[in-house]
Amino acid sequence: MPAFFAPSMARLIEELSKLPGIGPKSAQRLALHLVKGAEEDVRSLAEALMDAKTTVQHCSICSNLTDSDPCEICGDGSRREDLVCVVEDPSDVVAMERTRDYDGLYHVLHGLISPMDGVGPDELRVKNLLDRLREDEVQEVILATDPTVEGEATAMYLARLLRPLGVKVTRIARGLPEGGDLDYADEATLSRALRGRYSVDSG
Amino acid sequence: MMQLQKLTLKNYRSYESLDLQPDRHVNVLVGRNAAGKTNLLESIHYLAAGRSHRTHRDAELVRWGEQGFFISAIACAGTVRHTIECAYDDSRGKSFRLNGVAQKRLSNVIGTVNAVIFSPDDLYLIKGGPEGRRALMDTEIGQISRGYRRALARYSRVLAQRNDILKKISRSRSSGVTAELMSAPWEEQLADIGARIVAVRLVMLRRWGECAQRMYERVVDSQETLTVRYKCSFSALDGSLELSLPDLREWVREKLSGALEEARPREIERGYTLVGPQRDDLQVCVNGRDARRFASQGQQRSAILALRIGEVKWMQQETGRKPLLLLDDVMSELDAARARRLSTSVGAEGQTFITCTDLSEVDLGDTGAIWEIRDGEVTGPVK
Repeated sequence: MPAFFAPSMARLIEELSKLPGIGPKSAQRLALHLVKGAEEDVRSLAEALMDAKTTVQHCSICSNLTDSDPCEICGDGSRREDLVCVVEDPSDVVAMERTRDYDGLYHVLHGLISPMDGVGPDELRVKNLLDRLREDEVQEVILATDPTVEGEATAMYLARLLRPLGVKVTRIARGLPEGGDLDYADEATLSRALRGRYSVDSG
Repeated sequence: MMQLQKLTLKNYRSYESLDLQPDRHVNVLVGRNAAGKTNLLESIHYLAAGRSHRTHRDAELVRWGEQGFFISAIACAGTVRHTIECAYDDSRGKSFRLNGVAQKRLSNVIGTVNAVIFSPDDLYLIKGGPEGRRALMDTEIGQISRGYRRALARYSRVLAQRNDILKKISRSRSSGVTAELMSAPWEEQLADIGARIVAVRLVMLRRWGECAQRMYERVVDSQETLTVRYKCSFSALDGSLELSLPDLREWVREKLSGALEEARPREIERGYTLVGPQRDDLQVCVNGRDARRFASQGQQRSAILALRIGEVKWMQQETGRKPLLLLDDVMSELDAARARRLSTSVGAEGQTFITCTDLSEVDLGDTGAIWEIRDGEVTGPVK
């Protein structure tokens, strides 16, 4: 298909279609939109891309993406430093922050263990988590990976790995979503919620 | 009761195009060998199970020289009417629509139509390897429980991941400590999901076994007994019989968890998982002896028939409605007396499709329609 476009356009479409979630059609639409727009807009986008790529780095403490090292969260000072929440990727940090219920620190793994995809602990930010727990005064590690097959396995792997360090390890709860409808929940979720029930103390 | 009101086929096996409005009771499909009788039953079963009972390659179902096939049916479950459509295309694969809405997950479609098929190939259930018997349990339970289908999918994912890591460990000859650390995270999930699967199978088997036993006595021979046992790869099942489903699940989880731990060194050596529901089996016994080795050909066929009818009864208990019965060339295998008992046992209330080469094999009674099949064309009802 790109053969029908001028070579410069074809190249742009090709580059765009490498992005996740962008198919050839979307890439074509984006490319046409870009060249049609004002030059400043395109320059601004190009600069933003390069700027992000050259500036952004992994925080040396939590491995989250940051412009300055240590990242804002690790460097905050007002947050609890005895609590670390382990998540799969930076977007999970954003999700956790949105709750405004968590004021501890994070650790971003940048993936989940998946042998079939060639991802083991060595491909993840596991080693610097261990270093961090040995040095810092962390009392509790919350494992907040997805409740998928790989997320569970990663959490269990970490739980075993961290046990000898004498730190308290917890796993986020699973069950019904807030405001959810009981009869819309699938069997596995509901059964999990049932097993995770808690007693309601009056008074 | 489950009722098929209309069946449409396009480019499916021997059918270029077919529109059939079946009788609500018994439908006899009569025709010579290779006329397309089985293909018709297969297409109905396809809508129920989401796959063919004869092949796992959808491309084989496409009429010679065409690129795809289409099956659609209007089915009534009790008073609710559903339109279910399946389109397959060599380049795009298969897709399902339920009441006009495209369905992403096959698991949302399976179970809209319930059907049980009796086929001459069924002898594999006794004579074949364990995978056929496992597939039988999984398809049947899967038809009525979405939770079970999800559990199976999740289990096979965990299993694939763990086998992958075991293979890598066994190749690299890692130390025992590393090996344990890498394989253990998958074991807890294997035990948890595996226990769900086994517990549901065991509960299903209790009822199914009872139904099959009763059918064997009634239709086949009241002097002989038929029993179905679950052969568990990791534990004896003594003491599990009285347990309710949740207790049973917990009981199995403990056994499986222990077995995985015990098997781990061997598994690391071999490079794959040795225990779990993927290695379990069923054993069919006639008069207490393994039917595979000790039963005659006739007893084996009768046992299978009883198992299939037991399946129908079981499914009826579970869903509250009688599934469609697809009887492929069963009558020719039975003597007249058994055939009559079979007709009265299964054909009474549910919708049935029976194939035969000779009309004299089938006793239609008062209700029903006869359809003649010749070279992918159906004419009728002739009665």
